[in-house]
Amino acid sequence: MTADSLTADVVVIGSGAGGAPTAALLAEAGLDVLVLEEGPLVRQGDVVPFSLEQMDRQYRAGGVTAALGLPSIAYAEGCCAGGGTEINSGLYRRPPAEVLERWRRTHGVVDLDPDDVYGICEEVEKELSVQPVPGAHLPASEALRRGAAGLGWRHDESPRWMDYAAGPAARQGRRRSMTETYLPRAEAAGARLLTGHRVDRLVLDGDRAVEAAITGPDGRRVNAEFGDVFVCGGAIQTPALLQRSGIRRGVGRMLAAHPTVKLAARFDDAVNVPDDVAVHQVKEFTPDLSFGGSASNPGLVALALSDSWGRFSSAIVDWRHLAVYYAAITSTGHGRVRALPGLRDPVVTYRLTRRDRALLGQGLARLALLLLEAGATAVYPSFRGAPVVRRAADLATMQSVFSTGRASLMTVHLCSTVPMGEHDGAPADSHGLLHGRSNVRVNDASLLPDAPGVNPQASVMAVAIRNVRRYLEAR
Amino acid sequence: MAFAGRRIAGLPTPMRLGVGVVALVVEGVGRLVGPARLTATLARRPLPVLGEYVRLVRSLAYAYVWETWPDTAPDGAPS
Repeated sequence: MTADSLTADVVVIGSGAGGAPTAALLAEAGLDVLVLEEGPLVRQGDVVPFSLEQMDRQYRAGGVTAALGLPSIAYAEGCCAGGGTEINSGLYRRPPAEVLERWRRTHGVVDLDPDDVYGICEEVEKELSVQPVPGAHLPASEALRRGAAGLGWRHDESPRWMDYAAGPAARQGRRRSMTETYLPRAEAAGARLLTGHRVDRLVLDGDRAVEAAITGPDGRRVNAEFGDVFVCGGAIQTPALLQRSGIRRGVGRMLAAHPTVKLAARFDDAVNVPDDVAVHQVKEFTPDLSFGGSASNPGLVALALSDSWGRFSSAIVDWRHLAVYYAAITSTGHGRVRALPGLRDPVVTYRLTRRDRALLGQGLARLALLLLEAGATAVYPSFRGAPVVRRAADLATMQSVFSTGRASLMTVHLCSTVPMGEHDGAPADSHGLLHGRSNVRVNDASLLPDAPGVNPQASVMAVAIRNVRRYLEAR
Repeated sequence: MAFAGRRIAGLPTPMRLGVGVVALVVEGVGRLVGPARLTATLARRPLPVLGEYVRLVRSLAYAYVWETWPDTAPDGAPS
């Protein structure tokens, strides 16, 4: 089988929150940019958000991905043009100033002045139309607000990158994902986007990568030669690709996440909205814990009930009165990504600390209390053997039988597998250039030195844009 | 069944290998102790790590049913 050959000034691998702005800025600077995206192009509106069809078409492995451990943690990974931005809930949080300070102080990241970072955030917010919901909120979101207010807990509305041209209500928003924003910008500036093209490895010559070995659609072999490469495949695929290419120093060892536990809550009023999520978040226990709403179509409600299906199954007939919520922690554990010879996909593992396990149980109990305060008539925690919680007095029983080994843990925020920094052992410098390599840069969530404790997309985009500008200045 | 089969076929390689090994072991042990006894034991004490992938696929099957036919009763009857 002969290989097709491509050339470009710069190859960008991945088209998500890191790759899309990278490609746009490079192309707008006049460079010949080739974007290689493993997944398909699926436009906003082609699939219902949070549906099984979306999982089939836009999630890696149809959504069946997990970090092995005791317990394992399921995670969601976008595999499509636009990456995770096409499948997430669109919630936007700037990196907190104390997180930027920690990255500078503990991880030795230079050139990370908050004013500069927040200046970039303002650009992103304008491009993505980041704003609060101008009109009516979802009833499930109102429940969070109501419960937090009743308990005197800090809460706020997370803005989202949404366009409300169709109307002001939450459900009328159109997501300003990468396929709606930076990818069209990149293509308008001359970048080529090839979907269905998986980069198997980078071919190295000394300290330079010179070529990408690619498997295209239908298994066709393709090679792409380049001057520089930006690897933006996300916290799992970026380290896996680097390892397959023989770049291993410090790569894939410090996977960070925000593990979550979930529950379903039943209200007397109909609260279920199948294709949108709550925007209110409870921040009383930040940075350790935060609470929010999860996707709640009937299938996902059934998932939330399935851990104790024998006890909870009858609730599914009331799915219109049920919504799913999460308690997320900032974990002090970490995981690893390992590419193994002969295996197409990496092995991903994660280890929770004792503090993480305790915090997840506390988080679930506090979330249940909040929803009872909001008027929930029953709460169904997502762990094996869970009791139905109908009043605050039931929470002690719930906590006494909770263990992470019985729970369905998941996360949607993965980062830190190729952390940037200037200390010994950091695989990438403060701007994403891999140590020991002259032309291989990482520019995605892998670079974040640790989990930011908030939805990470804003952090990823701000860091990516900062890094590309540094690269262009130095050319 | 087709839905579940497609999900299993689409698993990341390490998971598919692990699930395959578990399936072989479970098949072998089932022949020794009997499938009913084995099933009851596994329902009480799911296998660590690898047992969760069976649960993942089962859970997605639940999700498929209730996304496709949301008014289905838990026993499968239309509600």
